[in-house]
Amino acid sequence: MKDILVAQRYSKAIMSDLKENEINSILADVELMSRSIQKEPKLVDFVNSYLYPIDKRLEIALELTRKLENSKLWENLFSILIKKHRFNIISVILKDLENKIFSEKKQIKVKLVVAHELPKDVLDSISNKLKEILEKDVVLNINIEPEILGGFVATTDSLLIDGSIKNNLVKLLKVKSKKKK
Amino acid sequence: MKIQPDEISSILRDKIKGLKFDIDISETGKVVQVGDGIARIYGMDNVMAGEMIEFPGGVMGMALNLEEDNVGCIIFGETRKIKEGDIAKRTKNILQVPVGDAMLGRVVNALGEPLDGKGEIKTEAYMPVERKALGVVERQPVKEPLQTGLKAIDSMIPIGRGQRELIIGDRQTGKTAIAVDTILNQKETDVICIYVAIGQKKSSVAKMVNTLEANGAMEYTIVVVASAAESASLQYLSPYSGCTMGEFFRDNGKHALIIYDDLSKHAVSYRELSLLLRRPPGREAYPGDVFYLHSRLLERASKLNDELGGGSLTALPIIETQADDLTAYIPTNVISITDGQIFLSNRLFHSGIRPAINAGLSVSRVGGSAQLKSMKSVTGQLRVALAQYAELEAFSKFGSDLDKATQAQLTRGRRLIEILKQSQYSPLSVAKQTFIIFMANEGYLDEVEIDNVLKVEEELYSTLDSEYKEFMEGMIKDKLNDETKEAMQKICEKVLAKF
Ligand SMILES: Nc1ncnc2c1ncn2[C@@H]1O[C@H](COP(=O)(O)OP(=O)(O)OP(=O)(O)O)[C@@H](O)[C@H]1O
Ligand SMILES: [Mg+2]
Repeated sequence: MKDILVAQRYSKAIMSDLKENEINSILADVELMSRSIQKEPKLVDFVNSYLYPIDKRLEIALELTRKLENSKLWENLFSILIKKHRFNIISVILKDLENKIFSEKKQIKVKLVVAHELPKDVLDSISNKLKEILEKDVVLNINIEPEILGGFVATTDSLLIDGSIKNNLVKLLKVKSKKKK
Repeated sequence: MKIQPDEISSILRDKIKGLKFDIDISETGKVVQVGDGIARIYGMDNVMAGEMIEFPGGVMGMALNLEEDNVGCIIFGETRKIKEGDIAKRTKNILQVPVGDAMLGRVVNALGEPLDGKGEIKTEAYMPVERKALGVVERQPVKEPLQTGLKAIDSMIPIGRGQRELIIGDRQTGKTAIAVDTILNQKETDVICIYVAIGQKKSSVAKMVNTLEANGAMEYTIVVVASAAESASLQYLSPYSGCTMGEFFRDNGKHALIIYDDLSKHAVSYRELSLLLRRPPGREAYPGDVFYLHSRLLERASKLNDELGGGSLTALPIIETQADDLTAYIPTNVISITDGQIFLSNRLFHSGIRPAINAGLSVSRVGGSAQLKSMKSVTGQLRVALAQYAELEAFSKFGSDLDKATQAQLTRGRRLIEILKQSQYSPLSVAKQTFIIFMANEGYLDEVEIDNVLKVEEELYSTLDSEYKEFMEGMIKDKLNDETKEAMQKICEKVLAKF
């Protein structure tokens, strides 16, 4: 809980200093970093640990920033986080930053779950429907889960849009048992 | 009739064809903390206070704390099924419970789900558990009596339909016994009873339900149970659920009686929830709104005006005290909300005076106007005699010589105390109550030895039952006039002649 609030402060600070033309490159950095942290979760623990000397940790963190486009910005962020012993919330910061950038671009990231691979035109129509509901451009991240039987389930951070066959059948059951009462 | 498989599949096919698939849009949040029957949710910016929240696996919760960065929510159901990171959904509904005639005779939990193994409850109607109490214009003063069948209460602390009368006393002083007797006494009346057991042992509740069943009282009773084994959230909710079930009858022009046994435990469960939700603790660690907790509940008991059907909901909340202390936080709160209290004293209970009602500390602030006129004609004298006796009794302990008049008052007082005793599960009709009090008031019992008073009382009742049925019916219709009194005196003499 507290982590989220703190992370929001950091991401807000980064955003406020951002220029229009930097947005896309920052987004690319954020995505790259999120992926590498996901792959190596131990890394965060290491960098945030008091067990190792601080200059060693700083060195490794700076190594990480080398490959990024805006390396100066990340360098600064990482060294502040390490000195304040806050590197553990880096993934929360990245997530929040990503959300902020998307909303800046009037876009929204949507996780779309479908039962099986769909042809392009169907996906387009789903995407249009979502655009209509959310009133923003949607960026889809498609997952396949056969359990939902058919239709789709779309989730954003604050909304669940459930048009799956599974949900409709469950609702049907509920109505049936209410009627029986 | 036999249905062909073909037919079935064609029916099914049509049904499926006709199905309209729709898209549900719900606002969600993420569970960031869960445990002790409480969950904290991040997100869900537009949630309303008191709104139902759905967790994965169909577990329901209710939003209580709307904070800047999270929503604190109590969970009705298994906390174990919810994990950190789960998605919680808004339902945009306030919690509802089933209401209606089908609930009668059933034992249900705080959500209105059956606990008695008698199958589904077939009711269509649902009503929200938290409803606003009625306004001033919708009500009227109490005017019909609610007979408890207990001599000490119906005579000195009369209760009217729509009144809120507190039953207060230490543990094991017969609080529940009064409530149960009151339910039993509604058998021949049109009053529907709701008994809400909060934080009690399951064995006590089972015993009570058995008693009600054995006396044929379950037919007009609903029992709502949130036992000590249930979570604090269900215990917190149960009186509101019971009240909603009672309001249904009131709003349909009927009369209902609800018993909250007991509100001390209810306050404790609310304190638990509040502390877990990190609301600031106040006096005795109760949160600041513990007064509102009970006032909004008890305000819902009322007598409707005639345009609205004249129905009523009478409430008998129960409060347990420690060492007869009426000045503790919760007792003083509830005393100030209710229209009077029946105070049960530990000392009286152990000296064999049962029900152990302390007449001096018990009052009914509004019930007097609902008391039957016949009863009223005998209670004035009863009160005065008892008050005098209470004073003289302390005095007489010094053992000094007492004059004749004082001795007479003491004899009378002892007889009155004796006739106000009453055993459990034996509620009496108003006529019998009036009669026995009349008999003592007129001094017929002064000559009878204390140990024999009970026998005379029983003889009187059996005589009345066998020979004077019609007379009794007429007797309670109006004030006791000279003619009636004369007839009653004759009966008294007749009964006494047998001893
Ligand atoms: N009028 C009565 N005559 C004889 N016994 C009684 C009477 N009223 C109550 N008792 C007995 O006293 C005991 C306590 O009664 P009861 O359970 O009603 O008290 P309580 O105040 O509700 O107790 P608790 O605090 O445990 O809820 C019971 O065993 C009951 O049978
Ligand atoms: Mg009790």
